[in-house]
Amino acid sequence: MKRREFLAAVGWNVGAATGLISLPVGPSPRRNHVTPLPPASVPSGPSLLVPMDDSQSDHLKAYGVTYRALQRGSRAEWLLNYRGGSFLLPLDSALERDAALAGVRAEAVGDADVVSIRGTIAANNMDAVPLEKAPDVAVYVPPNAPPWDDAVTMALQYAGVEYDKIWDAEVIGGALRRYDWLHLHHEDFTGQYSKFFVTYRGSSWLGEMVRRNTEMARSLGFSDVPDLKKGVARTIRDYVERGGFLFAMCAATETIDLALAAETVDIAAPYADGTPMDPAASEKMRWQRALAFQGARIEESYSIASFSDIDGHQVNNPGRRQQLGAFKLFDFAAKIDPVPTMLVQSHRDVVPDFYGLTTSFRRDRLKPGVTVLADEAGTPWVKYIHGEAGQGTFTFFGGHDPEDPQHQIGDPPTDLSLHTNSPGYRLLLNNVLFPAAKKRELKT
Amino acid sequence: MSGTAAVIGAVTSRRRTVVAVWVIVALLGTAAPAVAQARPAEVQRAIEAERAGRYQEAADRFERILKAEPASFPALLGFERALQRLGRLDRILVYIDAAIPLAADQQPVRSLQLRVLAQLGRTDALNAAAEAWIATVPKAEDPYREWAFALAQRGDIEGARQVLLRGGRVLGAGALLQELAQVAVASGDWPGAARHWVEAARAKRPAIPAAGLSLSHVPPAMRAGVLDVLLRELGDSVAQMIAADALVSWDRAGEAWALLDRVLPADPRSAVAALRRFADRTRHTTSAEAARMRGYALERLATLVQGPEAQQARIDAARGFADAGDRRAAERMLHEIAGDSAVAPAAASGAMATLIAVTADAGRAAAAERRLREWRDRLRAEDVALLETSIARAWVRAGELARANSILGDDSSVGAAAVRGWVALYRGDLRGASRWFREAGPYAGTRARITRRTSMLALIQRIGPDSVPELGRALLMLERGDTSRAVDQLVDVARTLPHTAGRGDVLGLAGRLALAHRDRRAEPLLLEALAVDATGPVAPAAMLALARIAAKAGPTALAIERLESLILLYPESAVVPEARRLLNQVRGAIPRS
Repeated sequence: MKRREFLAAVGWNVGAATGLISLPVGPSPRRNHVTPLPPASVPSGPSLLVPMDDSQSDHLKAYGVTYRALQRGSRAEWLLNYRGGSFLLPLDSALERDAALAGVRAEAVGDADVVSIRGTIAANNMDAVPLEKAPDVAVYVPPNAPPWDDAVTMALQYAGVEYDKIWDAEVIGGALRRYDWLHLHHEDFTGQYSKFFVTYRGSSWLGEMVRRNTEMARSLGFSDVPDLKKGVARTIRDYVERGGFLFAMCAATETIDLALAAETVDIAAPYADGTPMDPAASEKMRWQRALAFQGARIEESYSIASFSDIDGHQVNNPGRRQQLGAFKLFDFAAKIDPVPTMLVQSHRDVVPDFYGLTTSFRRDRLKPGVTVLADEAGTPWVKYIHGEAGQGTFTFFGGHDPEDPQHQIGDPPTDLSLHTNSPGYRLLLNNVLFPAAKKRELKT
Repeated sequence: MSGTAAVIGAVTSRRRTVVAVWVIVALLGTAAPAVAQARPAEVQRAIEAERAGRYQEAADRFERILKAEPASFPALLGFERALQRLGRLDRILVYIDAAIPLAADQQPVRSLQLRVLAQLGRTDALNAAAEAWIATVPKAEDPYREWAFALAQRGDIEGARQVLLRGGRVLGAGALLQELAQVAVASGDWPGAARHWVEAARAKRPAIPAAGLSLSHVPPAMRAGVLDVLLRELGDSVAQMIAADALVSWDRAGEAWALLDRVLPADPRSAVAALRRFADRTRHTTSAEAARMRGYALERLATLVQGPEAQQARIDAARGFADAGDRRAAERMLHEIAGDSAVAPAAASGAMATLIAVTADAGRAAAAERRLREWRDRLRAEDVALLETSIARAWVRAGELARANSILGDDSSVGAAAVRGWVALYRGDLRGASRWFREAGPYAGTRARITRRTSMLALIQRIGPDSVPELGRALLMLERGDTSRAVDQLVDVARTLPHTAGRGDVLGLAGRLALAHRDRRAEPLLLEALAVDATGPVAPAAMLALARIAAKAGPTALAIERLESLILLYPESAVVPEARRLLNQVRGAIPRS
């Protein structure tokens, strides 16, 4: 389904879901023509409102409660911009129990309350998006990685959203077709082990990483690890083009595009593939194959843990490292742009920034057509972007862990029960529920 | 002041050439004084424009100043800042070239030149400028240092390293070693940084603190490798001292002290400096181990210094030992001070007050009381009151309830009320204990003491009878550390209480105590408490304790079931947040801490 088709579908549903035709709340001129949805799709009877403003005791688990309700076959509505992007769910005992156990604040609302909510939504920059199906979620992650090594797996684990772990063998073997949503662990798709090879040589974890990747490349018939990762990157791009939802953070954002654009160019350091990097690599990159970026220059020094000049912050590049600031989420028109609106639902507009191997994206390296969801005012970089490729979409979020801004190797894992209202982590979870908003099959 | 003097005073020594020009102009009787007075004002106006964000105006103003006074370094710096904002930094190069031959001190202007060329990405020009500078001062470290810094600024760490190595070869051993270490740090090469720091410290001992500070930032995953370099590969006394410094900042004070103790310099001045630094650095961590090691270091320091300095070191050492819970060592130190006739009276009485408190906290009430009697007249009144309360608490712990009451006398403080509450409780006078605990309120003692008192107040208010001497005896037994017998006694007492008047609460307490001491009776006692009183406050607390037992034993499903029941049945209970956290851990939703 193309973006415009999706918008049309969502608009059709929304008009009905907001009850503008059947309920006496003062019709919006823009919506008067909307055909009512069949009654079965409209939540009726007592409902549970899960507010997502400052009254919410655990924003992160609220996503899990909604996800599990969808898993049980319930319908839900995402009330965009209404009380921080609340959820409206049909009241049942399983839902009540789940919310109570999770410590999620939920308010029982009657028909009159729902009418009032819909009136508010109709009159403001808000919208109600039906959520239909709990998406099937996969996380691309090495088999031995603990869940505490990656912000998304931490968030999924904490919220109680089920996911499968897949890695190179599954991706190359075609397993992606089973999933609606794929998250990329902070992988280095250039195959250079996050360029930690020089700094951390001798560390047991790095040795294990090299061994595991080398064995995998050999077993799948690739000449070396950079070659394997390029193959994985291509398969992931195909998945997106066939309608998949891709979400990536940290180094995975930048390196998947570098791997795609460098399909015929050697951009890997000698320690990774045994040959020196092509000295004219930057000039030979074919950016039309990449998802989000273009025109970047490759970092030539293999001792600097930076991949290119896509990242604005260059945390491991001493001469270019930039200070952390705060990024601001854009305010989209909910009724016109429901997709970016979903992705930026938060109870905070401004969120403290956090480092990652890739922290941000230089604005002048973005392809035309990429939607910026958040940026830092007055700087040449953006933080959070979204775009389409073929039938699917990709969303890239810079940084490693929203609640550990300086994250270093060996730091203790983040305990999300101490950050239950984290606006940064909310942004990750928006992405998990976003595919639930439209019901369609992946073309395989 | 004459015009000439004003001019001379207005310029810095760095600009001697310009001064000479101004002096000649002034002597010729021109308008030079007016011009000279206008300079600072003009610089000020340019800076104001810059502060206000009017960068074009600021750049124009700085440029005008530089046309009139080419070697004005403040103007050059301001011009650099403004041009950076405007994205036209290359415009400054011609002014830098003009300033270099005029500047008395070339170092800042040449550094600026390298920095600008680095920012502009003009590597060839940068290298040529650096070579030109070296040619003018071939024996100086500055050109190499600034050149390397400029390259590092561009991200060329390897280039920076090569420049420093070349400088080292030219200038001789010991040169630019700290800079090499810093470059290694910047590239994340921590083992390499450790090697350079040791070399630097071997050449110049004062580099040891800088080395320790730098290596304090080593990421946890790299620390073993760095220690390997310092202790095995290098291993001399300098490397060990640096390792000791780093270990303290990694919160491994015990290992750090063992190292420092072994390699403490023979020269007293160096040894004192090392001990002081070690003691200071342990203050940044709150662990008992760090406090104890601080005590050792200061005790050693006291032997190397004299007079008041030695007294202060002993007092600080005693505090360190007391913070670490090593009361015997603290007492030993304080005894030395209090018994030293050479010590100033104020210091001696302060030390004695601390010694009495430490003695009382150690449970030696009689010794503390005797010392207080001897020193009462020399101590401050507020110290005496606090010490009496401490001693009374020690008597309570010893089971000498009458002596505790007696030492409190007519003290009406909240601290005394709290102690009286415990005396009443251990006598079985629940009504009296309640009254005293309420009077003490939430102000007396440490947070732990307040929490303990409040929990006890909540328990005894649930118990029907006003007086239960057996319960008092059981709780006193608990106070004195005999938990096993206290649990037996509590169970016996509980079974004499009415169902609705504290039986479940006392059983629950016995069960939780048994759990804390890994006593197998815990689970049956908690289940019995639940069966007796499923609606009172004991129920959620007992369920949480039962869930902990299940979680520890392994059957996760049972732990989850118990925790879910707790949360759903007692949503308002104060233990629900704790239950949710345990539920998250049991389910693997958060890491176990």
